[in-house]
Amino acid sequence: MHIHIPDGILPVWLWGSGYLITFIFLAFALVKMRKDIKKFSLVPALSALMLVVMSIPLGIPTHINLAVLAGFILGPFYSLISDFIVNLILASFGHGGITLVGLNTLVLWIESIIGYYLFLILKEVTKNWFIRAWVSTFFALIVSTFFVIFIVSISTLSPEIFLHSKLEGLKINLQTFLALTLPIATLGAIIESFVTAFAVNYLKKIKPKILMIR
Amino acid sequence: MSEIYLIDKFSSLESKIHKLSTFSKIIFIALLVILNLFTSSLLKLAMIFFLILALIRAAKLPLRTLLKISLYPLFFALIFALSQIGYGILPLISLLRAWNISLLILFLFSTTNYLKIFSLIGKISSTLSTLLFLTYRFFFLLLEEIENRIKAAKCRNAFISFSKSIKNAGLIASQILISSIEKSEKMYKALLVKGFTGRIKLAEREEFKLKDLLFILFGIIIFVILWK
Repeated sequence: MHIHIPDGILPVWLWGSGYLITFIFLAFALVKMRKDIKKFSLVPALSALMLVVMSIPLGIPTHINLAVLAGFILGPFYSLISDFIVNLILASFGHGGITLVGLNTLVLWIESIIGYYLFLILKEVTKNWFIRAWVSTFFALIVSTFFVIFIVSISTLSPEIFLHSKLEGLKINLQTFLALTLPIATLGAIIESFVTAFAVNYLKKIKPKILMIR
Repeated sequence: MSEIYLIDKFSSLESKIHKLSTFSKIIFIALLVILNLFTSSLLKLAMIFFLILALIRAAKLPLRTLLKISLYPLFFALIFALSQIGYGILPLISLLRAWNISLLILFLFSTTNYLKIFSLIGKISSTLSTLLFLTYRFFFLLLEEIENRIKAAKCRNAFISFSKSIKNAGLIASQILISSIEKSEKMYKALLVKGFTGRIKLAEREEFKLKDLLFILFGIIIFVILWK
């Protein structure tokens, strides 16, 4: 589940911090990538796939984004590049604000990282790849949803606490926000977990070498 | 995702705004985005909205189509706006702000080819601009393929029930992924033969003309007037 926070909603200090954190990690990832030229084919292929699957309508106001699958294939570091590219291109036609590219990238990256590591941890619990992929994807998506809620909730605080500036905090009723987003996010997470688990199962049989997870 | 198709098509239209340099358009849009972010006046936001509509008309872009595309971010803005009921006109401000900025970004990409923007990003990171270019190229290849696969799957009743839909969506996604990886590997080998070192030159350098300067000045004037 990727909640598209539109422009002009969150305070500048918050989305600015999102850009700053993203750019720091992105710079490292890009420098690393320059030395790993073979990944030049995989990152765009996966980014394009993420963009394309987002076009598949699910009948509810959400879509799958395959950020966890990106983590399974690219690993926790290169998936950041893919997540950034996807968000930047999405923002170009209004899916997620242009000022929110940094924060939205972090939201997706959290999914990629948590999904990747949880899949590895679950090896101790079960050898079934489908179950491991489903559980790790579902958990990653729920955590990222709560990260979005966390972003919105800290944006309601006065930034003076953090920055000593006079910028205004976001005025929002958190209960209403939770009631509007949580049911959609959970349903979206269930659907995406199944899609990712089926995809991982299929890839394991057909092209296991491309998966970073074992 | 037909939006990218449309925006890509619009960016090749002919108008005076299309012919302006990418740099001048980015500066102009950045000024208006900043203005939108920092103003809390509904009147000023409405003025910016009508200015954007005028710019879309001047660029000979289909206004109704762009407004339709901009409704998507407006839906998400609505979630936030509904959560702001009870704070006076704040929900309206949030909605108009989000709508204005999404229209501005749509305007930028509908009057400027993606490759020109990626090329400008290349001045900061050539690796990133190359990856953006390759993603953009793959996107169109995959879009056609996924449409064909979904049509074929529908013919075989692949989406007849919810459980079947989910399973087949996963299979289609992984088949498309394998297909795109195979395509990307082929392209990668072809690029290596051509001496690829992780950098692709995307667009010729654009000239900065007087009209570009005037366009930026126009943006600065609007910014100064509405900032007060």
